[in-house]
Amino acid sequence: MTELMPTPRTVDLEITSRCNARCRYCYYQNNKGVEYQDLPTSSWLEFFDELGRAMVMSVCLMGGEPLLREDFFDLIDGIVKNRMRFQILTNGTRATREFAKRLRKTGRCFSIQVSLDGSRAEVHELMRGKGSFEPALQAIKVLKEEGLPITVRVTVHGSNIDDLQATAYLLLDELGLPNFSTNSISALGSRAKYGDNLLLTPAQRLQAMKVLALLDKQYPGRIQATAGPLADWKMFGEMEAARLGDNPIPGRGHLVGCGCTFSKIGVRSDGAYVPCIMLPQLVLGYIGKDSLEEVWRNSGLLNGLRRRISIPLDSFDECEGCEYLRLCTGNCPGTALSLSKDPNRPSPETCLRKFKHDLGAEGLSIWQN
Amino acid sequence: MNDFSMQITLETVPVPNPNLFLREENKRGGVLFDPDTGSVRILNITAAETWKLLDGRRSLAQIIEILKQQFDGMDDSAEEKLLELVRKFFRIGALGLPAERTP
Repeated sequence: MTELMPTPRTVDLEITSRCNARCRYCYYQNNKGVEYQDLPTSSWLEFFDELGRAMVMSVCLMGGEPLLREDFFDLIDGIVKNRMRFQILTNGTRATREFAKRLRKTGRCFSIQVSLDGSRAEVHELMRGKGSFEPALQAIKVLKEEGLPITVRVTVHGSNIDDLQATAYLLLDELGLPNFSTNSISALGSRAKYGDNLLLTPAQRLQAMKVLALLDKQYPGRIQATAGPLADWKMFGEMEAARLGDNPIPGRGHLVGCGCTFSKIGVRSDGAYVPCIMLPQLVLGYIGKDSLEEVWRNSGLLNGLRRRISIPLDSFDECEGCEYLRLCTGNCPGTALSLSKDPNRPSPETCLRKFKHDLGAEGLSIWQN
Repeated sequence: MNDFSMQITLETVPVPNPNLFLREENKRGGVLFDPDTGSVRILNITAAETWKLLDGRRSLAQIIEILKQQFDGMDDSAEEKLLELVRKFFRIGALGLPAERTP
């Protein structure tokens, strides 16, 4: 097995459970078994001292909406003091010019991501709520003008696929951002409240893949994705090409879809250590009570997830007879837990065989067009 | 621009930049991290051990002696290799000279 680092390089921190938005597809809210409560400033500052001693290099501040914390810059001071860099995921509504100036002065912010789901209010606000577009757009402009490393995340859903071209034009041409990233609504969090009708249908997913693939050609290297339609398009294309050429893809054929547990860990807003923010139900311990190093090295749950990479896909009934067996990663343990009740199974959400089956005849020709 | 790295001799006592730190990640070495720039430099085991000995009190000659005890088979080229490594550290701002020697 891969030699384990003595401590994680980076830690994802949900510094608040509060949010001023109610996005219908939120992965964070409405997770069963999650305690939605916030820690006081002192608890976080003590934890940052521990991260400093553990030589953690960076943290990602998220929520909820992290900028809602009144002590936000006290927390930033604690991070800077402990020789860490940080990134922020925000909806942008609190990112004023004064905020941006203060943030820039820290010199340690390496990324601030604002969510924007469309080129105009009618599209963006379909999922993210009325009045949310203009503040997000203003935040992007202000953060860019102040020289911060701004990036934008576009979450693809059934009602903004037709707007993706306009969104790319807005972000890359009009606003001049170097890049933006995309994902899609996943089978996590609020999907449990609102149901599967928020997820892309197979036909919508294919349409989104094709649109994003074209945009990827139009804006080479400027549209990024580690999940969602564009990432799926690239991974499925690679798998299909390998199958047609009868070429193996080294390292595949096992549950290798996630390597996060080898370099980072997450902390919920209530102080619970979790393997990943996509696995909020799996509590490994609590900050202030359990040491980071102890949890990192000795948590049975965490080490079990690390051993996932040695589980062969041919040990699962659902993979029997699959022509992509040697080419597949088994994908995200977070959606596997959500959909199959077990993180140590392949996730059906990104199963190519299932996707092609669900698409029907059209699925067989998608990569030939 | 002054290049202090060329003034380095075995008598030099370099001072490490306090903002940088070494993360030892495995038995083969670690990474030297600069939180102000985000720069990450991979150090092999010898470079990592050298960095740990650069405490602002030891001269490079003293450090070589310790390294020779730590690593079997270090030959006569060790001094030149160490000087080259230390010069690299100087060039990236990881090391400086004591205040009274800085022009």
